[in-house]
Amino acid sequence: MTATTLPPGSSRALHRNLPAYAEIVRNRLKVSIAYRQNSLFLLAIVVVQIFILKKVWSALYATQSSVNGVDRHALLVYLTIANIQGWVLQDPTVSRYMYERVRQGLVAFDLVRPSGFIPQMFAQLMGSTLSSMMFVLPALPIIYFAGTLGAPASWSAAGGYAISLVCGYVITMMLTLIIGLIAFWTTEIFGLTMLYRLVSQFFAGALVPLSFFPGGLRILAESLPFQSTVYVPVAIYVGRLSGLEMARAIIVQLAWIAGLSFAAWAMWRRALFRVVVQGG
Amino acid sequence: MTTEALERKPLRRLRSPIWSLRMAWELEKAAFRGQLEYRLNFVIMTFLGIAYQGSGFAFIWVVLRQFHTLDGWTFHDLAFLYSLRLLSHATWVVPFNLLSDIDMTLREGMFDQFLVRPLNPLLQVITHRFRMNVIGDVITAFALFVLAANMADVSFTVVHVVYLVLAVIGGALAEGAIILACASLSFRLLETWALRFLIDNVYLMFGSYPLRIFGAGISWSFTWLVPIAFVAYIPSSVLLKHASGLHVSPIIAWGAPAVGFIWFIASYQVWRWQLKHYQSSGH
Repeated sequence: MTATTLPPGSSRALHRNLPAYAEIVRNRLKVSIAYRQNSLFLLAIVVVQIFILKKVWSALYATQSSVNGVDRHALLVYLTIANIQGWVLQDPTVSRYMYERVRQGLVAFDLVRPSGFIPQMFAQLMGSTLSSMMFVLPALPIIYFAGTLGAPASWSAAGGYAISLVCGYVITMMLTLIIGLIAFWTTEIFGLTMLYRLVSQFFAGALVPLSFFPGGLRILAESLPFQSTVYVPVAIYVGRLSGLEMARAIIVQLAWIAGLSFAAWAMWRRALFRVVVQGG
Repeated sequence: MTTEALERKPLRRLRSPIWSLRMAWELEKAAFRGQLEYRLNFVIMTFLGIAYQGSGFAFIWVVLRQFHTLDGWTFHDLAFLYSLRLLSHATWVVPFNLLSDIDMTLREGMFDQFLVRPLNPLLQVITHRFRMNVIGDVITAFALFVLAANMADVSFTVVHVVYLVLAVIGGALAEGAIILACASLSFRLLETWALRFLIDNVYLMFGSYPLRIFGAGISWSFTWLVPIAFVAYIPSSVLLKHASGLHVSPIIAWGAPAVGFIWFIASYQVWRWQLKHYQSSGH
């Protein structure tokens, strides 16, 4: 087997194509710097949302210091971190980018490149995450005043958060990939990506922690993958989930990673055939 | 009568405001019919509009089940406030939704055509297409408003109904004034969509709660610098008899609808002034 015939997914191919992926990441960063005005306005929306949530929840907590076993400070830290994290990790433009490539037939060029299509999309996602981070870090002092920032509840909470955050990020990537892959079947994806953003934000617990959801809604939220992207890591961070509960939540996250990876893989295999049909 | 006067006469008829509005109405209908051709997209976009506007309401519902009141406002009061803001928002976006495409309209040179046609360019900008997701806004606004008006303790005397109607129109103009002024900047800056998205969100987020909870400084700013309070907070305070908690006098509270009209007239002057800075993209 010569080097050129390595299947894109193999580890040697991945290693060889690393410079190509780094270039995709770099390009993403350049794009967001070129359009920094827009990125800043979009970040401003998140900061305003954090501020609103702080004020609304503070008014709600006006007469109580602890509700449902959640004290006010922990809740405000939760909401602030959940919203920053949600903004950094999730980028609907990558799904839309996939859709544009498919619609314009440019996906053919992506497919013939020696670096695999899926890793290319992951590189896009990582690039957008890095660029979001680039904007968030200097904004942290403003976010500190708009919302409430605080240290993790304990050392084990910090460690658990790190692990759970990585799992949450992989789940977010898989979901974005699946939404993007739908473009191979449908002719329109804009409505779907917007809808996904709204639904996932609500069920991820970015506005209301899942522990405040009423009965039926909570069961629904817990059976969806979205809670594993934001609620689980941030609830670990503030000490809401600890010990056995924390371990259980991380196992559920790993199960979602396995399930969603399989779904994405199955979709991708079929999507390839769709491309052949469209190109024929 | 000279021949010159005879030739000028139809032109003058052309420019009358009534004629312009009738023309705009015909163009809007044509744009709407055009979009109806894409049925699936219509359904998706309508659904999206409902989900978008309904998700904010879902937040209030979930939270108020737990806490019962927010700064003295019950769930029913908040539902009324939320739906009144949505009603004003829908009243604005149905005719003016295409202002959100202004960047594209300018960049692709479409605006050149608008300038040579005998109809106010602004009317042409807003009627050349129709964005279907606003239908979702309208459906959500009406459904929530009917629901909330039944639940909340609102008296519907003739005076209150007249005030309500004027407040919805005034609220629409109070939101529209800022969006229009911002869209006018596109003549120079070429791209303002993210700024308008931010404004839209600020109106949605600050306008849907009792402004008082955000503190005195923000209450003042969003009353006198940006007219957010006049969209729904002040009118619903009057209608829900919460006016005693307001940061403005009762005279201003009852005069709230007029504020939107004044802002919009000023904003239209900004538009006309910025229009002079239009540079064709070279078509």
